Parts: sequence; C-alpha cells; structure tokens
Amino acid sequence: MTAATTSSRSGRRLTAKGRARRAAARRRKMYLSAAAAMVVVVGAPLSVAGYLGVENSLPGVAAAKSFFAMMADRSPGERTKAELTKTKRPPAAISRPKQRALGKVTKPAPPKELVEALVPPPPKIGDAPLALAPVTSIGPMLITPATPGGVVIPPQSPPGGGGGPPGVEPPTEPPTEPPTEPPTEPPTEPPPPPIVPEPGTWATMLLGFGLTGLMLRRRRRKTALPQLA
Amino acid sequence: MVVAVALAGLATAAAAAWSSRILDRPVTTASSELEDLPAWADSERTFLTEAQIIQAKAHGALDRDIESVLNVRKQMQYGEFIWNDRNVPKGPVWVRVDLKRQILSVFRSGHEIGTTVILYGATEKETPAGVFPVLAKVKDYRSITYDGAPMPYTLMLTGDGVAIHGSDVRWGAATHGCIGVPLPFAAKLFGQVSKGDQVVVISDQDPSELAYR
Repeated sequence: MTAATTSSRSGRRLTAKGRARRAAARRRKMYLSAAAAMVVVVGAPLSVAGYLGVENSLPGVAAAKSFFAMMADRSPGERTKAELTKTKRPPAAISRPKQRALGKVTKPAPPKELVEALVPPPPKIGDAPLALAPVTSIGPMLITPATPGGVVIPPQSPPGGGGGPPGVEPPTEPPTEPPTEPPTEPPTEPPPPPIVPEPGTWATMLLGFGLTGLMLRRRRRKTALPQLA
Repeated sequence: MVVAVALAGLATAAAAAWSSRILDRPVTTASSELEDLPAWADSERTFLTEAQIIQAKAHGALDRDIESVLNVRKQMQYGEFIWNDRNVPKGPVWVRVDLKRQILSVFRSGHEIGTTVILYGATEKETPAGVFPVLAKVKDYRSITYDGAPMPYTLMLTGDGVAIHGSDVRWGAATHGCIGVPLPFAAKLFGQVSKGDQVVVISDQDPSELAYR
C-alpha cells in the first residue's frame, strides 16, 4: 500500500516534474529560436549591405553632430594674438621634426682677398719676371726683417720696370721662396676602410668562393672515379 | 665546367648589380584611385539632415542649403587640406570661409569637395566678412600694394585687392587681408571656381552682417 501510494505519488510527482521540464525545454527552445530569428533578420540585410559595400551606419548616430561642431572639430582652433607675435610654436602643434639629424657643420671659407693676401700663389720659374712685380710688392710687408739687402726694395716694385733689369733677379728670388713654403698642407690621414664591403668586393668574394667550390667538387669527382673503377 | 663558371659569373654580376642598385627595383605604389587623399581623410562623406541645416542656418554658419560634407577624422594642421570630388556631379560652386575657425570649404552642387586651413588678415588688416562674387582670376598675380609680392592662383574678391591665393600656410602667420591657402589647394581651387562664383566669408564678430548683404 504504502509502496503503491509512494509509487503513485512518485509517479504523479514524476509526471509533474516531467511536465515542468518539458515546459522549460519548450521555453528554452522558443527563446533560442527567437534569438536565431533575430540574428537572421538583423544580420542578413547587414551582411548583404556589407557585401555590396553600402554604407550601413545607422542614420542619426554618425550624423548627430551639428554642422558647427563638425567644422569646429576639423579646425586647428582660433588664432590668438600671441600666435602672431610669438615665433616659436607650442609643443603640441609640432607634429614631427623636419630634420632628423643635423647637417655637417663646416667652417666657412675665408674671403678670397684675405687668402690671397696671406698666401700668395707660388711663382713659376718660367714667368719669373712677370710674377716678380706682385710678389715684391708684398715681399717687403712680410719679410722686411728677414731680407738684409734693403737696396733692392723700393724702385723695382712697380711693374713698369719689371722686364728690364735681368741682374736684379738673383737677389729678389730668395724673398719669394719663404712665402711658398708655409702653404704646404699637412698630410691628410687616409680615410678608414668602410665597414660594409662594396658591391664589387662582394661580387669578387662570391666569385672566388664559387670557383673554389667548383674546383673542390671537380677534384673530388676525379679522385672518386678511380676508386669506383 | 665552363658553363658552370659562366653561370656563376653571371649570378655574381647580377648580385653585385642588385646590391649596388644599378638594376631598377619595382617601387611599391599605393592604390592610384585615392592616392592624393591623406590617411586621416575618409573617402566617404557625411550627409546632413534637414534639421542640421536649419540649425546651422539659425547659427549663421550657413546661408544656403548643402547636401554633404567631407569626413575629416582629425584636427587639421596648418598647410593640410583634403580634396575629394569623386562622384560629385557638376553644378554651382561656392566657397565658405570661416575666419574664426580658420577653415575654408568648397562646395559643388551642395557637396563639399575640398577643405583646408587658411591664413587670414591680421588685426590691423582684417579680412572683410560678407558674400563676394569672384571678380577676376589671375594665375600669376603680383601684389600692387605690397611691392609685387607673389600671389599665385589669385581669386580676386574685392576691388581693393582682397583675394584668395596660394601662400605658405604655417603657424604664426597672417595676411594683409587676403585669404591664404596651401599652394596645391590653391591650384585645385583655381581650376574649380569660375568668375562670378560666390565666396561667403564668415566672421563670428558680426553674424548679423551676413543677412544684410
């Protein structure tokens, strides 16, 4: 009896449980199918629009800004009075340095007149009488203490009589030599070899290795052949 | 053997030529269609609603109907501009100049086709506000008032020399009353605008002035 009641009770309970479970399952299925339907309904047109390249943004979301705000967004801002008087830009306005590395600084060449005055061009032996005139004109200025023979200096310097006296040449030649000596340049150091080999070097290296490999291969084949025989 | 050496020689020569850039290497190029459009500019445009236009008119930002504006995804810097008239039909052209925001926009049949940052007159030489039809177009104009200063691609607005022209648009610069635009933009604008087209110069100091002109 008790067992039957329990069984009947349990049976009844079971059926109730089963019904509830079935209802829950049905509800779950309904929710799932509703969600799937929603996905299909919303997704299909969007995917089609995306496939066709149609703009699919919702109206009123992207275009909610006013025309005024759109113009203000793209504007660099209002110009201030300070902007016109200051010469340096604010740090925020500088996007990128224009020059990444500074150029090589070389000393400016001294003016030509100065160079010529300090270091006169060396006279050639062939045109000695012609070159004499300018040289001697500078000569007394630079080398007056060095030349003991002051006899020669004044009258011969004007170019008018330059070609005339050949006997004057030997004494005037010594003063011309000293100014030619100083301009000799200091010996420049040889430039360091480049770290990366040049393409030509690469090519030669590759050719050499290739030839070596070929020769080795050839020799091995030659030595291998008699063994086989 | 000879053939192998010859091939090796050829290969080395080719390698050497390649490494020394004697051979022309293919240059990778961007897509040609929108190559002159900067990365921060959208190829699409924003269409305005009726309400937005009414609002803009009420604020004095617009004095006529427009259809769309270009999408600019950042704050433009001095010297930058966008020009995009793809798929925009031919039609009436007008230019909107906002002095306070330092922005110029070109519209063709209601669609914005170009925009840039401008230079405008300094405080003592202010750029006049109002609606000005383009009086004349001169490609290589030299200023009469300012010692023959070059004013390339001049669109003359007033009789006393106020014009839109190409100039070096940079931070901290101002004009003597003209409207300066970047030179490449000035060239495009010069090609687009014809004599008689209207230029609307808006200055926030006198918003009512627009209505009376």
